[in-house]
Amino acid sequence: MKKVSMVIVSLVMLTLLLAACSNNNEPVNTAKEPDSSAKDNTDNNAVTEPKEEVITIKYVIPGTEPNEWPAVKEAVNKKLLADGVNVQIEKEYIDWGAWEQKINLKLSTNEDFDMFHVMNDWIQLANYAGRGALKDISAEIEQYGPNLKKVIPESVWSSVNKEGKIYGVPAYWYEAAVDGSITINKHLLNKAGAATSFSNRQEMLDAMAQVNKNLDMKLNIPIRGGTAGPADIFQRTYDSYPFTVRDNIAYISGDGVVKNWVETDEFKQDAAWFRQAYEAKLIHPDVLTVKQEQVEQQIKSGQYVFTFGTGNKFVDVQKTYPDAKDEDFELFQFNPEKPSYRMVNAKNINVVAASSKHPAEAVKFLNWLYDNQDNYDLFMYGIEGTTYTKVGDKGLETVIDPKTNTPLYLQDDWMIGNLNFIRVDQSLLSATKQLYIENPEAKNFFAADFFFDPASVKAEMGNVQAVITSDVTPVYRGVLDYDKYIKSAQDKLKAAGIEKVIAEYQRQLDAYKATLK
Amino acid sequence: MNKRKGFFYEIAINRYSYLLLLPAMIYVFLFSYATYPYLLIAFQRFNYQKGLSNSEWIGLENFRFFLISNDALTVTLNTIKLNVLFLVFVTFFAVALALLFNEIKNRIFIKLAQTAMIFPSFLSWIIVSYMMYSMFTMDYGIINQVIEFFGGEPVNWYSKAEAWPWILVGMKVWKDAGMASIIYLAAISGIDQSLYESADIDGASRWQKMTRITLPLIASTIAILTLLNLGKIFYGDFVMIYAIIGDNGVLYSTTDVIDTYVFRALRQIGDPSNAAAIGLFQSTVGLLLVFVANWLTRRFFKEGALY
Amino acid sequence: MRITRRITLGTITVYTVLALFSIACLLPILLTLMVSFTDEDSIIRNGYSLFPEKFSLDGYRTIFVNWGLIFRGYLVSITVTVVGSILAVIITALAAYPMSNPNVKYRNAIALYFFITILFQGGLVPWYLMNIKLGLTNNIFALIVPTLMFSAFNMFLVKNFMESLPSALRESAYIDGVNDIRIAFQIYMPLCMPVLATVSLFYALNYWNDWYNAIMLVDNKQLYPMQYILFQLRSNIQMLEMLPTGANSGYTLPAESTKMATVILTIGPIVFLYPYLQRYFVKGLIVGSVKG
Repeated sequence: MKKVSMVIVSLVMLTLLLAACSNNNEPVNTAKEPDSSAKDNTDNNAVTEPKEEVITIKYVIPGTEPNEWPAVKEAVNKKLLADGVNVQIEKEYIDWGAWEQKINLKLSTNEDFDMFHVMNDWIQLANYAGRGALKDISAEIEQYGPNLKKVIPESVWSSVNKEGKIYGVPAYWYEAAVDGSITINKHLLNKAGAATSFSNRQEMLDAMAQVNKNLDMKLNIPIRGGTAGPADIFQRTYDSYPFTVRDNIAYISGDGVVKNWVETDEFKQDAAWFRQAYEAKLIHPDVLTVKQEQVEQQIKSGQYVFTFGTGNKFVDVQKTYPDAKDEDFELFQFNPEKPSYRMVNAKNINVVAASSKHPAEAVKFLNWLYDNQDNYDLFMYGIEGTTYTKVGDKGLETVIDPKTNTPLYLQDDWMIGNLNFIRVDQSLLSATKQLYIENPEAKNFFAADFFFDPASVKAEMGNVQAVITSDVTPVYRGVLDYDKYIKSAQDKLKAAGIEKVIAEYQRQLDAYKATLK
Repeated sequence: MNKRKGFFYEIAINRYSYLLLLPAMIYVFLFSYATYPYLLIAFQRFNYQKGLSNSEWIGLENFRFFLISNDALTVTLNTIKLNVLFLVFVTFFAVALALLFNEIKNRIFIKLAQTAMIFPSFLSWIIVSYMMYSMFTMDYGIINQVIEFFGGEPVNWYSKAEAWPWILVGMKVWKDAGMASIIYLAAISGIDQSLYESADIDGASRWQKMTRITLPLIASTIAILTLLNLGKIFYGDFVMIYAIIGDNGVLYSTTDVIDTYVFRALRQIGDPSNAAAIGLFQSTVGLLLVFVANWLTRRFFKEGALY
Repeated sequence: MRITRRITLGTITVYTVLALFSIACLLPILLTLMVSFTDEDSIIRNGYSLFPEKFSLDGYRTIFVNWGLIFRGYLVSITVTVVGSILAVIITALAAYPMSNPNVKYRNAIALYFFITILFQGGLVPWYLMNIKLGLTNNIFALIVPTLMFSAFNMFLVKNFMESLPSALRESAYIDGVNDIRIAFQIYMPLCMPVLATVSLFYALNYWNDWYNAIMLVDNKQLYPMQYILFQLRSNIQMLEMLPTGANSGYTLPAESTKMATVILTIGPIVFLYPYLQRYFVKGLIVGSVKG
C-alpha cells in the first residue's frame, strides 16, 4: 500500500510540474510578443511619426512549423515596422491531418484569427463564403492593396469576385498553362533506341513498351492520387480543344456549353488509352490502391518513361541514373502548334476570416509582401545566408536542417507566392522550372476563373462525387472495361442527379459569362 | 417495496450509492450531454455568422443527399453485414482464445503468448494498411509469391471485391481478438473455483468443465459486449476501411459502408451539417436496435441485459 | 494410460493453436522492427522485408537528433497515461458498484443515461467549447481530462463482473452496518482486480494512443505526446497529392525507415504494461473472501 501511495504522490507531483511549466511557457509565447514588438515600434517610429496602433494579425496555414520561423518572424516584423506598416504577422501552422476540422472549429467558435488559406480545388471558396466564413475585402483592397492589383493579373481576380464582393487574394504562383504537360525521360528512351517525341498517344505507349522490353525493365506510369482529375494532357489532341473538365463531371466547351464529361467521346477515348496501358501492364495493376508515397518516390527518382505533369529534383534522378543529364528530361505537350491555355487559375487563395477584426491590416500585410523582392524573400525564404542562399537572379537554395531533413525555413510558395517574385530551387529539373516561367503566349481559357458553387445542388453533387470515385474512376483509369461497365456507371450518375448538377453548372456559367461582357 | 416511496426517499436511502455515481454522471454530462444541443445543426443550414440559434431551419434537407442516393441501401447493408461478421468472428475467436488459455498451465508461455496477442492493437490501421499492401499487391506481394511458388496464377487482389469482406474480417480478428480475449480471461478468473472442484469430484472431463461451467458463466459478458456493439452496428469502422480500401472503387460493392460513403460524398462540400445529420441517423437507429435487443435479453437471459 | 495420452494430445493442440496465433500477431511488429533498421535504398528497391539486404540505423538517427523532443514526448505520454488511467479506473469502478447493486432503484435509468453517451456525440465544436470553458487547453490536463477519463463501455464491463460476484458479500456487509462506500472500496474492488486490470489496460492504451486531444487542445510543443510526433510524420503526406511536383514546399517525404522507427518508438514502453497487469488475473479470489 505504501508503495502505491508513493507512486501516486510522485505522479501527482510530476503532473503538477508539467502543468506548471506549460503555464509558464505560454505567456512567453503569446503575451510577451506584442509587448516586445511594441517596444520596437517606439524605438523606430516614435521619434519621427505620431504613434499609431500596431496590430498583430494571425495567418493560419496547413503544415508544420519550420524550426527557424521564430527568428524569421522577428525579422519580418521588424522590417514591417521599419517600412512604416503598423502590422505584425503571426503564423499558426495546423497539421494537415487536422486541417479541415480545425479550420471549421476556428470558424465555428469565431476564434480570433485573421487570414487563412483556401485550397480552391479541394474545398472551394464558394463553399466557405456560403457558410458565412469569409469577409468581403473589396474596400480594403481598393484602399490598401495597390500592389496586389499590380502583381496579380486582372482576370485571376474574377475567381474571387462574387456579386461585386471580393472574398480573397489569389496566389498567382505558377504558370497554369503548364498544366496538361508530360515530362519525358529521354535518357531511357535514347538508351532503348525508342522515339523521343510523340505525335500521338499510341506512340507514347509503344515507346514505353520498347523501353521496358529493350532495357528489361518493368516501369509503369506513375499516377498521382487515385481520384485525381482527368488526364488533361490529351485535351490538346482533340478537335474540340480548348475545353476543360471540372469536378470530374463538368465538361466545359470553348463556346460555353456544359456537358456531362462521362458521356463525352473524349472520356471514352481517354479511358480506352488507359485501358490499353493497363492491360499491357504499363499502369500499376493496383493503380487504385497504390500508396501515394510510392508514386511520389517513383517520380522523384525519375523511374518513368513519362509522367503526367512535372518531375522533381535532378539530384534525385541522378541517384537512380548516374549518367542521366538534366536536358534528358523534357516537358512536352501534344500538338505544340495549338495555342496554350490556362484552364484554371486561382487554385490557392488567401482569405480573411469573417470573425477577423483587422481585414485592413491583412490586406496591408499582403500589400507589403508583394511590394518588392526583399520583402518577399524575407517572408517566404527567411534570412539570407541562414535559411537560404540566392542563386542567380531568380534562384535559391534552401538550407536543409540535417536533423529533420526539411528546410530550416520556407513559406510554401503555393500558398501565398507570386510569379513576379518567386525564387526557384535550382536543383529542380530544368523541365520542372517551367512551372515558374510566365508564358506570354498563353491565353486564359474563358472559364479559367469560373468556379462552381454547389450549394443549391448539394445533395446531388455529393452523390455524384461518390459515384465518380466508386464507379467512374475505375473505368477511366482502365482497371475496368469501358464497354462493360460504363452503362451502369452512367445510370448511377443519372440516378444520383448528374443532370441537375450539369444544368446548374450551365446556369452559373452563363451568369459568369454575362459578367465578362 | 421501494416502489411506493418517492424519489427523495430513494436518494436518501441509497445516498452513498448515488454519491459514487456522481463523478461519472457529471463527467458524461459535461463531455457528452452538454454537447448534444449542437446536434440540432443536423436540421439547419448552418452559418458561422449566425451560429446555432439564428441559422435557418431546413427540416430534413441535410439528410436528403443520403436518402435519395441509390447507394444508400447497399452501403447500409454492407455496414450491417460487415459489423455482424466482425462481431461474430471477433467474439468467437476471443472466447476461444480465452478458453484455450484457461486450459494451459505454463505461466511463462501464457505471459508471452498473451503479450504477443495484444501487439496488433498497438499498430494503427494506417500502418497495418501498408503491411497489407505489401502482402496483397499484385507484382511483389507476399501472398502472390506464395501462390506462384506453388504453381498457381497470381491474383489481382485489389480488384477482387468478393474476397475483401473476408480479408477485412481476418484483419479485424487478428487485430482485436487478442485484446477482447482479455475481457473474457478476466471474467473467467472471476469464476468461483469451488465449482470446478466439485466438478472434479464428479469426474467431469475438461471439455465438460469448459462447456458446462466456464462458457455459461461468461455468457453474460458475451451478451453485454454484444449489446454494446450492437448500438454501433450502423457505424462502419471508417478508420479501418478507409485506410485499407481507400479510394479503390472496384472494391466498393462489398466494402463501402455508410461512413466511407458519406466521407466521399461530403469531402468536397465539407458542410458539418450533413455529417451531423448522418451521425444522428446512425446513432438513433442503433439506439432503437439496442432497445429491442435489450428488451429481448432481459426476458430470456436476465444476467446478460445492459439495464 | 489412454486418458493421459489423450490429454497430452489435447494440450499439444492447445499450445500449437495459441503459439500460431501469437506468431501471426508478432510478425507485423517484427516486420516493422526490421524495416526500421533497413537501409532506405533497399526498402525502395525491395519493399518491406523481414530479412533486409542492408542494415542501417538512419531511421533512428533522424529521430534521435531531436532527442529532446522525444524525451519530452515520452515524459508527457507516460505521465498522461499513468495519471489518466488511474483516475479513469477509479471513476469507472465507483460508478460500476452502485450500478451492480439491485437495491439501487434508478440503476436501469442511469444505465441508459450512460449507454446513450456511447452512441451519441455532439461533435467537435461543442466539445471544444466545453474544454475551453473548463480551462482544458494548453495544459497537461487537456490531455488527461477530455473524453478519455471515463468510458461507459468499460463501466458496463466492470458492472457485469461485479454482478457475477455473490450477492451474499453485500448483504452480510449491510448486516454488519458497513456503508456502500466502504463496501465498494474494501470488498468489491479487491475482488474485481481482474476486470479492473483489464479496463485499466484499455484506458492506458487509449491514453497512450491518443493524439486527438493534443492536436485539438494543445499548441504548446512542450506538451506533445509521442503519438503526436508519429501523427505529424504521416499527416503531411496528403499535401503532396494536391501539389504539382516540384512546388516549393517545406515538406519532404519522410523515409520509410524513419516512419517505422517512430512506430517502434511509440509502441515502446506500453509493451511492458500487459505483463505487469497480468498478475491480477488470479483465480480463486472469491472463494477465499466468502469463506473468510
